[in-house]
Amino acid sequence: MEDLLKIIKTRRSIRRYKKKDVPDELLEKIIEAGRWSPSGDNGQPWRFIIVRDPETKKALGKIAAEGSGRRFTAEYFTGRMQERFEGLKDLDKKDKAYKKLTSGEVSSFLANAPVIIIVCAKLDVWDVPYDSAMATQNMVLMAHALGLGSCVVVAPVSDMRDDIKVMKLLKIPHGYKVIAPLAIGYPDESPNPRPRLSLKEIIFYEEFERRREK
Amino acid sequence: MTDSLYFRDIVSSLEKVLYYERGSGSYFRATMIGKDFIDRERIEGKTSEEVIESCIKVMREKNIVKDASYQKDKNGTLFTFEINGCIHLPVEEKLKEEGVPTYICPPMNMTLCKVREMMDLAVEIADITVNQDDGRCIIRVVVFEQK
Repeated sequence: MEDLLKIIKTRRSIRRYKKKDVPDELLEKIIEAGRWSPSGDNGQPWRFIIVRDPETKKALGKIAAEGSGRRFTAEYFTGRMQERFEGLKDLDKKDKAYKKLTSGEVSSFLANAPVIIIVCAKLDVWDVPYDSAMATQNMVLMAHALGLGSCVVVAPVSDMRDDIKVMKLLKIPHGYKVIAPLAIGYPDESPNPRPRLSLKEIIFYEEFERRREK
Repeated sequence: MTDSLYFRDIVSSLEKVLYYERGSGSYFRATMIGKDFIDRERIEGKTSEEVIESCIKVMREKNIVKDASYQKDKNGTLFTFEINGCIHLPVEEKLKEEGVPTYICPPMNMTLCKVREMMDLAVEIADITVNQDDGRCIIRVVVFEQK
């Protein structure tokens, strides 16, 4: 049990990968983990596209960068981004962060992932978002357990304007949708953990906001 | 259209459903709402300003808005629009009562869709402020060349 929690707690979103291909057998193990996710009414909406073609990856990276770039440019010009980074005192770092976000570079790394698994879902199923999200989580944990890095990159599919481009690029038919591209490869970075809310902040007893008395 | 209670209730309920599914991300799912309407209209212009004016003219003629104007910041990237008497105000009023923030502005979507399509520029709504008291909305958007 401790091993599972260790895998969960040491997983990171990896955005930089070694230039080394991921064997099919490992990808199959990752997808096998997704396939065994809980599924309402056993609908199993998930379908997976394994993308290795450099041109397709480049196109996905471009769509991702455009989506993120638009969103963060809007945040920058209204001053909200500056508020978000108020705590960061190093001006050079701050400037780099602004550029990384507004240029969309924060998401364009998708093009450089050795493999992208596109998690898709069939829509004539009751619990599409729940089933698909659980499958994706199983997959990122399995990737990590296998010594691989992964990152769920929603940038190319969160906005409808980009989503339709991805659907067209990957020839996804009506009746299906893309949940998220999952970048996979051997990690070439080891990011620190991101801060998490404490258990005390997120657990209530019997009703919302009711906390346990000391 | 949305001035009838029936359509106000239906549209606001749909917006509420989407909001409860996607939270703040609902905005990104709704960026093309209005596109079908404006695609049927003749929009002209060789600059983003001319395209915007052409869209405003159509929306005025079709009674989508009473009036609209905008200002650009010194960088020419941030545009602040003021829309008066939008047909969607009753929908937004109901949503506000139900605790759902405004995340869709169909007139702005229509305008930005055309600027994007005709001028090949990146566009994004930054924020929407609805003032029900005087029927005036302020929408800040960015329009820029994406490298």
